Amino acid sequence: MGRDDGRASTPLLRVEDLHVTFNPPTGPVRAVRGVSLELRPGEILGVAGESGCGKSVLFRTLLGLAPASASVRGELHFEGWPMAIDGSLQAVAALIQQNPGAALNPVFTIGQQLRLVAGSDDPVVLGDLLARAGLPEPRRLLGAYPHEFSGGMLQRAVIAMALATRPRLMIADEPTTALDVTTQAQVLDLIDELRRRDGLAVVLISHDVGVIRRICDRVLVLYAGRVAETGATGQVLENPGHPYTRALLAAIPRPETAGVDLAAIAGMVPDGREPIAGCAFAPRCAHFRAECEATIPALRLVQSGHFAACVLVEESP
Amino acid sequence: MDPSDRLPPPSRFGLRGLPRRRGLPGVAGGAGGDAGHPARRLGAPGSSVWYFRRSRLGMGAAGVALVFVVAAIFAPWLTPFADAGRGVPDLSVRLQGPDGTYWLGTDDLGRDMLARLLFGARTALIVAVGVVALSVVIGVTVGAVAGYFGRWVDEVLMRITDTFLAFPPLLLAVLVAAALGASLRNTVIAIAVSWWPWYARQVRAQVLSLQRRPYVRAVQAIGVPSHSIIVRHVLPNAMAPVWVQATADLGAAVLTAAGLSFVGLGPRPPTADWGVMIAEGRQYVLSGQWWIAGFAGIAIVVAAMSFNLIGDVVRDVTDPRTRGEG
Amino acid sequence: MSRGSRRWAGYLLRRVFTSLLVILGVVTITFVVSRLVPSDPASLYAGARARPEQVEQVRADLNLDAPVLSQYVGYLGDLARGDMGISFATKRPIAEDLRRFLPATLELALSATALAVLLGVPAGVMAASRHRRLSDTGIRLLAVTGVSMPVFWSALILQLVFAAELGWLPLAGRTEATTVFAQPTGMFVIDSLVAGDWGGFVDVSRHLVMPVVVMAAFPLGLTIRLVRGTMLEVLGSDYIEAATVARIPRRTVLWRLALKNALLPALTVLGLTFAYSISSAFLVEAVFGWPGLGKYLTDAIVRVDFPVITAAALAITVIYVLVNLALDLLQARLDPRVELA
Repeated sequence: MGRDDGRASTPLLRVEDLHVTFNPPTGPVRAVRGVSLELRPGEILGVAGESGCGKSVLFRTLLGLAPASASVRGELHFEGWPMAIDGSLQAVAALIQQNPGAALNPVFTIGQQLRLVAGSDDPVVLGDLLARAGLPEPRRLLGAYPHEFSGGMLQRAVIAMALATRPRLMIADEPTTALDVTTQAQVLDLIDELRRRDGLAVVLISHDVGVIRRICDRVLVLYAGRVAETGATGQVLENPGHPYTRALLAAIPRPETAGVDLAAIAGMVPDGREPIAGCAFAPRCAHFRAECEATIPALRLVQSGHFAACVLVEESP
Repeated sequence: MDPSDRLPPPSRFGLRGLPRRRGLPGVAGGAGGDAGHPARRLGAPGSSVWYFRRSRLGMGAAGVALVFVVAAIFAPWLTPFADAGRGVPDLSVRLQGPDGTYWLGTDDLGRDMLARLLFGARTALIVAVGVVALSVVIGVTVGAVAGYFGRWVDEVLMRITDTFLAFPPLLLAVLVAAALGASLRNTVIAIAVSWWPWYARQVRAQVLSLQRRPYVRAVQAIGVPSHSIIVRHVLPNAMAPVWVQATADLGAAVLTAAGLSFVGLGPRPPTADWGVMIAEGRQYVLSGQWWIAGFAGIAIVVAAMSFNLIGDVVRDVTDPRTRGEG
Repeated sequence: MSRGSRRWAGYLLRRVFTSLLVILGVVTITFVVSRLVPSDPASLYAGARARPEQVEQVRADLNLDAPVLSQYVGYLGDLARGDMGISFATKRPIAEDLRRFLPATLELALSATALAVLLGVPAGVMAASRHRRLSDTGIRLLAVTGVSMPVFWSALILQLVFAAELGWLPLAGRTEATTVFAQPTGMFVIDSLVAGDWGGFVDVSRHLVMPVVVMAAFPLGLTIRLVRGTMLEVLGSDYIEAATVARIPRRTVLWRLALKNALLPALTVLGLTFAYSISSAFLVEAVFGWPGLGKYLTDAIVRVDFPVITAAALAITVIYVLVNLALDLLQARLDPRVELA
């Protein structure tokens, strides 16, 4: 299932032990509590989890979008080189936001905005960017304002804008959530195509496991600011090692479960205010046992390249 | 639709009706702010009251405003010169500079300035509360009726509202005050006549958005009469921004009333009035007796500024986007 | 393209029409208010020593014995012909006086508006970009002070300091008695330049400084608060975040991108600024002895000269309505999102 051949190469991006704590007047909120991850060149990494689990905060912090009052700690390596953890990724990464309608400035034409980002006035260059994002008649669209575009076209224009910065990786934060199903598929295909054609590495943040299953090579499941499970998409989705991943999968409608009640996960994600002693998922977990509350479970090997942070893992090989 | 329908009307002193933005995921108080937590205890951490109490600027302004209100209510007991405060002249001590007896000096009729200022605070408070109360009553009624009934009722009421809004601020008040004649009561009426449209537009916008809420639909469906729906179900939820605006407007009311007094459209003597004091003290300023107009002006600035600051801070703490300032 | 301009023409007509409606409403309100006067206008006009039959004669002359509705129609008709009545006090035609005093007030109000906007917009942008830092708090306090100072009081203080104590600026008036030049527009800054009278221009400018500063304080505070608020809103938006991630320099983001977003809705601030300038004119002009509409109005208030009060208020309001109309049309032209339909 994994599209790369598994050869160990220098990862494009390596994050180690990232902690992000917000400091609003109401008291600190620990949004990310020690996440490590790797992204290989040309790879699409899916990041899954419920809202509030820290998946957006994690990557927005790397892009320098954390509020100034937040405390950030951890290490970042780009192609093996150490970089500042809170923002230097801006230089090589582009961000695709959730709502394409809000991501473009409403009072400037697409061409004006593209020009600023690309640093070029050449309509051929700008038109080419739009064409690469799969927009027809790119030259004509340069003079159009965002409100003249449909949702799908807008997201393509946003992607063109991202491409204009010549990024090495693209961070797509719920890029399809605001789109209808058909357009969703087209945008996902476009992202997949950019990866194959340009070798762009992609982080795809999504709460939708279906989207992740469709194009991601590997997947990272976050819960309460920590990694719950990670591995090749096939491994994780077919043979989940963490009860949280299983619960997530049970919550999506699939043909074989038609007519069966979907299992909503009882309880709520902890909000990061209270200290968490053991496994953060323990209070909601069906397989809860005493040791879950004692220590934070480390990532344990499920099978090659597939890890889950759950004490159950060793018992079910 | 004319463009004024697209944007909420800018308030007299700031911007109102700005759409709220969602916060960064994970940061306290995302979209909706307090609206999403109606049951939250007053003053609990994270509530608007809690944020306000943390704001030094807001608490300082509230303290000054409190002093102003206390001074207004207890004026006769706070000074040995209560009769002078009520306007009794003592020509033997005309235009005395500030000293041990007359801390802030005396005016051209020999009245203690501190006493006059304290009694002037009464006038200012009466005018400010009167103007805001009257404007809120008229504005909320018109706005609620227009927003709730919609269609031609809305069209007619809003055309009238817009016509009143077409007058530059102050000018309609001057016109009405000039027509009714100078008196404390007429000052209140004159300013309220020019202010109610601001509240009407604000309440109408609130009612329009609340009306689409399921709970209003629900009570409509079970046949609750319109007036009861407006009064019991819609208005209570539409009033929060009105109270914020009303607080901030107290300062503007003090200022506007002073302006009317200055041109001779305020309360008649012997009523103590800060605007009148400036008008009368004006002729003495250049000859060295600065304290009459000087202290009266400071009183107006301090009172107006404290209410304006409270309004500013309240606006900030009720908007999750700008919380924790000051 | 022609469809676009047809839609534009339609929009323009509709806005002009609604503005006319508003003006009609304003005229009606001033008419109603003028009938609220407790004292009898006929005896006011005739003067204190007039005999009863003289008063009755005046009542008939002024059409004051007719039914209210016919008085209203007559009033509309007079206004349409440009006849704004006669001053009780001076017996002069009011329309002529207004024409004479208007340029002085416009000169003041336009200068104050310009000053408020030129200082207020950059200050608002700076405050927003330094959100919650010391300079933001400083600018906010300045803005609150601006909207909390009675203009007639700050005028007095400036007079005391800069005219009486320091002697840097003239105390009041528009020019020194010795300054003479042709006055085709009535706005002395322009007139003196047209006449090539440099000394006159300096004199006129020196007289303008204090009234303009005083008049601009309130709208300046207003502009700062409005621009700061809109800027904060814009700076928190996804598209500014996107521009930041795309490493567009902060200066460009602030002054080229965000400012345009913030200013389009804030064009209304220009109208509001003008409104506050022109409506505080009557206070400022009274203090500085500035011979404009405002002083004309305050003098009339003192003399209970009701036709003048009504006419001056009406004239100022109509100017304000027209300014708002112009700004709305401008905004519709500049903002691509505005639906003209």
